[in-house]
Amino acid sequence: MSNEDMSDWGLPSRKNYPYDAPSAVELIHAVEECITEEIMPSSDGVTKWKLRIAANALRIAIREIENEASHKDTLQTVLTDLEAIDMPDLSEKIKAGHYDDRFEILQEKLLSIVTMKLEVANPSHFQ
Amino acid sequence: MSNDAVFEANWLEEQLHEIFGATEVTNLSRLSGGANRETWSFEAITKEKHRSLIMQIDRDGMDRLNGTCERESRILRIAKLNGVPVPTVVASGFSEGSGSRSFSITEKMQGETIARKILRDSQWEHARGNLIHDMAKALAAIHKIDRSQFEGIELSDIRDPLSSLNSIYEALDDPHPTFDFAFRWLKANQPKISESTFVHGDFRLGNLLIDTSGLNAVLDWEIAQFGDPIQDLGWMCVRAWRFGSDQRVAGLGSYDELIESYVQESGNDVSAATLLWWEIFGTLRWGIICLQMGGDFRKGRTNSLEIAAIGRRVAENEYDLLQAIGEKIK
Repeated sequence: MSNEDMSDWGLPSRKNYPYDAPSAVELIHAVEECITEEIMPSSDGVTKWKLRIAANALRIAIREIENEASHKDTLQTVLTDLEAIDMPDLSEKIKAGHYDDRFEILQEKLLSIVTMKLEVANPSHFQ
Repeated sequence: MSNDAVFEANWLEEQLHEIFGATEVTNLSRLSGGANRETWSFEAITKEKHRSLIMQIDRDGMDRLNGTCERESRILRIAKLNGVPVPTVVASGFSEGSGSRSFSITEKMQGETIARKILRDSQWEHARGNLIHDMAKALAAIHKIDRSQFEGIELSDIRDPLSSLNSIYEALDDPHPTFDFAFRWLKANQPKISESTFVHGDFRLGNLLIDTSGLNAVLDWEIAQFGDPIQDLGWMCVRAWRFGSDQRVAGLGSYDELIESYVQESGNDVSAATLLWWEIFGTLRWGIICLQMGGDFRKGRTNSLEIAAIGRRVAENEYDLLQAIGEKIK
């Protein structure tokens, strides 16, 4: 056996048991970096345009995986506040005029839902 | 040449033979942009002349849009006769075999269509100064075309835009509470609908060819129809069509500039409140189109990543709707 110093050989901690690392998010992130940093610089035209869309789609996927649990909790709270069971039920209630006497509150609640959607889909869209 | 080409240069040569005589097609290349159709650029060489041409062909497998390129070529011919700046149509028809798709071939005109370049690059600075007026003038010419000239072309006549849009939304059967909220506000605040005229339906940067002096040609007539003409003005004010600029009208200027030019060119009266209603309507419409296009991917009608990604643009429009209506109700 060698006398090599192994004190920094420890791997980062992880939570995705029973799988191994890299995690789903880490894998997607690695593909995204490979596209933007290795493949895109030497591409052009339609290929570059498609790669840009692909990299953006992967960033959406990462943000969705990372935020899904907390966003689902928040959504449930908003739906409860509006006495709605789920999003289709909320739609039906809006159509039926259920919130016409508190349209401002409805707007605020919908904004809190849509803000979560946009944080995942395209955070650069916030003014 | 890209390997997803569904036709070959010799097929194009056959199409052009009837019109120009013996023709050699070179430099066939696919251009980016356009989610509903493929656009190709090529050179057609005959004994006498060397022509730069553009071919558009319906996107494969999108039955809902089948025939749009051929129909558009007929609209282009009418628009040209009525003084609207458009490319000259060279040929149009349907491709052979199963899954026949319609195509149109037009002259290639000079200029830029990419909105972000037009809005930012210094070479288009002079054009930017003229564009709102040029766009208003082109719209006035479009809206003045007598509807009898379109006889024989299947065009929707939208007399009740809200219920037409709502029927598309309901048919998609994918509830979006913010869309229901917007429909409810738009219904309660609807201005008097103007007399139905011919409208372009997708008039905005990206669908306009710009040269250094201003507007050179109006492109992409695939959803032209009859309806309230002010919808064309409101549509180009939708945030998506400002392409990141803070200028309200097409990323170029103000409501006042657009209204002044349009009133002067068309003689139609337009109020800022009506224009805003149509801008909000346009935002809802683009949101529903994003949902529908994303749906084409979800239903397996296309495997285009671009179209899949458009499904995620729904949220941008929901956000813009809530902001715009929020300002009106508070």
